[in-house]
Amino acid sequence: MPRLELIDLHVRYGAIAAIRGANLAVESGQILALIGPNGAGKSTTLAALAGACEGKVSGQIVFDGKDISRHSPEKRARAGIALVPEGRRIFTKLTVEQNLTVARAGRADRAEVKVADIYERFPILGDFAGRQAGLLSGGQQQQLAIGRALMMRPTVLLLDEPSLGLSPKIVEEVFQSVLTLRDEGMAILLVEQNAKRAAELADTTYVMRHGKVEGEGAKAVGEELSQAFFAARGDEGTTL
Amino acid sequence: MNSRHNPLIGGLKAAAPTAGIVVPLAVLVALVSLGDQAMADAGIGALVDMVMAVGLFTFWGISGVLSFGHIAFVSIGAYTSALLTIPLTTRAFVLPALPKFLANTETSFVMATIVAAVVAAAFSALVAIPMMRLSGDAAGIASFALLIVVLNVTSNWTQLTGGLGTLTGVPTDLTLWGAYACAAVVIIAAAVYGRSRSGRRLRASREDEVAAQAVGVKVHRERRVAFVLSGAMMGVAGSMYAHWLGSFGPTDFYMDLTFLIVVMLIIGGLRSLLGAVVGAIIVSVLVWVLARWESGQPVAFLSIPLPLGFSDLVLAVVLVLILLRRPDGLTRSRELSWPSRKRRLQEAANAEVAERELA
Amino acid sequence: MIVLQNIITGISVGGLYALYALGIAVVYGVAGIINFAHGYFIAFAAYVVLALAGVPVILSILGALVAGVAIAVATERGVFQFARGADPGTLLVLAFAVALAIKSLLTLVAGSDTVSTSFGSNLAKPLQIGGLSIVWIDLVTIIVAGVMLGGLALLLNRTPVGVQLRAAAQDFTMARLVGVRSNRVMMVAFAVSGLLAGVGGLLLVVRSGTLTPTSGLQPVLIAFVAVVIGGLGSLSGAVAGGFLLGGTTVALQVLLPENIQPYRDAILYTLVIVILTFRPQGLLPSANERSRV
Repeated sequence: MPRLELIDLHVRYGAIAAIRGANLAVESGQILALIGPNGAGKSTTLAALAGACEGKVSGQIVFDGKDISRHSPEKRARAGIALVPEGRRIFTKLTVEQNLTVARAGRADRAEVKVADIYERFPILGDFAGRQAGLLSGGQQQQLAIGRALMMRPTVLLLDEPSLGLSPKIVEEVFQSVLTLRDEGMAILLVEQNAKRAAELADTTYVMRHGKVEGEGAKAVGEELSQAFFAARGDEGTTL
Repeated sequence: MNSRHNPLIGGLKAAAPTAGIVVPLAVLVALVSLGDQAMADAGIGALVDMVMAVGLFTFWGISGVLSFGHIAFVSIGAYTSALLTIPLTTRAFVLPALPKFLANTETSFVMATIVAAVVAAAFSALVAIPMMRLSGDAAGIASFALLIVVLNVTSNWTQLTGGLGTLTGVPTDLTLWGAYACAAVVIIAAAVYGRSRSGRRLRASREDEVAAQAVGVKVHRERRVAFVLSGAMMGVAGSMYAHWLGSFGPTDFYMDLTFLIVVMLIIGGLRSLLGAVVGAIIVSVLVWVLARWESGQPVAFLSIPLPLGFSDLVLAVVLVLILLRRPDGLTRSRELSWPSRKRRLQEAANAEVAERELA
Repeated sequence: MIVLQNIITGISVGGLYALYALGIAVVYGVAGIINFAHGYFIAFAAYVVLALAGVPVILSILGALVAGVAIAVATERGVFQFARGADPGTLLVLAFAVALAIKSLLTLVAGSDTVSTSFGSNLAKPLQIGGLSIVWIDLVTIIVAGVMLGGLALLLNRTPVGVQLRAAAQDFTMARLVGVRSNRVMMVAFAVSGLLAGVGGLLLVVRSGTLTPTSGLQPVLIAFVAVVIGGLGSLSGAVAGGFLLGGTTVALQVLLPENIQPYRDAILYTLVIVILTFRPQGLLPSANERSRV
């Protein structure tokens, strides 16, 4: 059974339909990449999954077999769905450690994630534990954002454009961590502008365009499909 | 626009349905005039409040920018009118230290009202210079500040205003139909402005400031126009107020009156002229009934003993409920318009096309 | 000597104003609401103190604090929680309506006449320190303000709840996305402002000795000015703004010529408009936090 399933998602902002029927499913220990041009609705999809979408959302969101479509963002977060949003949105005025401790794992029966565990995964955060988070570099902030998400003991990780604004070397480090998480059993939904790299990492790649999920395919097919797809449409919006 | 030949006629024609509210209003006033003096008095008061509500709508409703300070302009209008109409002998007594020109000029209500409107408009033009750059929270606080500044000045400039105490002696020559005339003029002006190019541009900026600027709307300028116009209307209301009561003090134009007018606007519907008028009528009636019950008098043979301060509570609660449940007010921010089958069909067709384009 | 006495009075008034301003700033930071009703929370707490006349002082104090918290949380639960996400205009009018509701309730229960009280009147006595003659209440105000500010700083920086509050104040949606309960955070913010209102009410009663339902207006207007000076959206700015305003008020009282004295408010509030127009982030350099203006 998929960890997280999206069934016939529709999102409207007033008269404008941003998402017009999206379907996808993520399994544990799997990376599902969502690629596509700007404005396709990828970020909106993640936001809708996390409960942070400001538009009118309809459709079903099923988590571990339960329909969570009506749940508030904090309830979903505590249930185990963690969003690492575009631009990271760390709490710049709090310290690194406070950014981590403010994230709450809701259920008491889940083992406590200790800050030390996060520092083990991302040593640089341990070095800067008491520093104001706004002073960190882009790559460090990205690690902090992921670490903050991990504090919630999630089973599903939603990553929105983690490579944005980062140098290639740092991007690789981040992607490595993502792969490690996948191997540890996390279900990961990855939205990326860097379509090629995302398709390489992912077990499954979906392409999204104009609010619809247009295609899906296994890892190897993913890149080819995207290339052909965009070539056919004459679109230059992605880096391939 | 269907009249390229004469924009004025075209403008009036477009404004006509909205301004048409003055007709049923006349009927209402006629009904009120059949009652006794107390009834007429209450009716005049309601019309004065209505002018304030329409004035506030002209700025706040159309631009979407908050203003809690508009009553300051009413104050200015009231004092200006009073200074020009208190009979000279009385004036020498209540305001002994007036400058020569003001001590010796006496005019009619109409003249005084016009001057009051001009003075209030001038003052609002001055104030608009810094204030029109503000919106949201800042505008709210700044407008409070304006109210306080004017209160402070009118309370202390004893030479001109008689200070903190009540200024008396203004002739109570405002009749019910006189008040109606003033209200009608203000309503028509508001309707015409709302339909004018400036008004429509301002409305566009209310919906989306950035988009409006992108198509060339000079938002700050359009706001200034609305602000000054509404300032003038408040000036008219101030003059009416002075001639209705005959005496008043600086604290008449502070939080309580501000609250009353805001309640009227919001209950009726902040975004439409009809809302301002309807809201004024409804709240006036409500307050009148409650006030009578509070003072132990019957309304239509029904007498409910109410403690003092109850009407304020009722208004506050009603306001909270409306804001939470029906923020568009009772009129849902709709205006009166020509019933046109053709237009309705056109609008439906437009919506369909928009849908198809997005699919 | 006189100068020193005035300075102490200035600090005392500054501390009082800082407490008023914080009450507004805490709620504004987390909820985005400019709570015009805050002044009436203060008045409510003050009336409770009066109602508890004859009771041991410690109970009166407790009563005021509980009353402040109660009315604040009741307002959040009963009104503001249903208006989340509304635009600033609606929120401000809503706060205005709540203020009027509380004022009319107070009028209904206690009448609109001015009530006088002797609560804390012995604090009006002077205290001699060396050649310095200050009033007890000034000293008490300074101590109380210091304790409250220190306590608040501790809360916000050292407790989990406080950190959640600060996170929510910076980015409310993101806080929710990491599991912070929005309802809880709102209630805590209002409760904190209610506690500040309770203290404010106590100080109000002792400092002025009289009370009417409209006594709430003055503190909230002062708070508005202080918050604007310090920069909307900044807690430290609110505190600094309060002290600056308090100090300036006392200074003007001492320094302004007789004939301009009555126009103090006009000058002050014109300054508010000017600051809002030209420097919406506030006068103080520390106000580098995100402003919603």
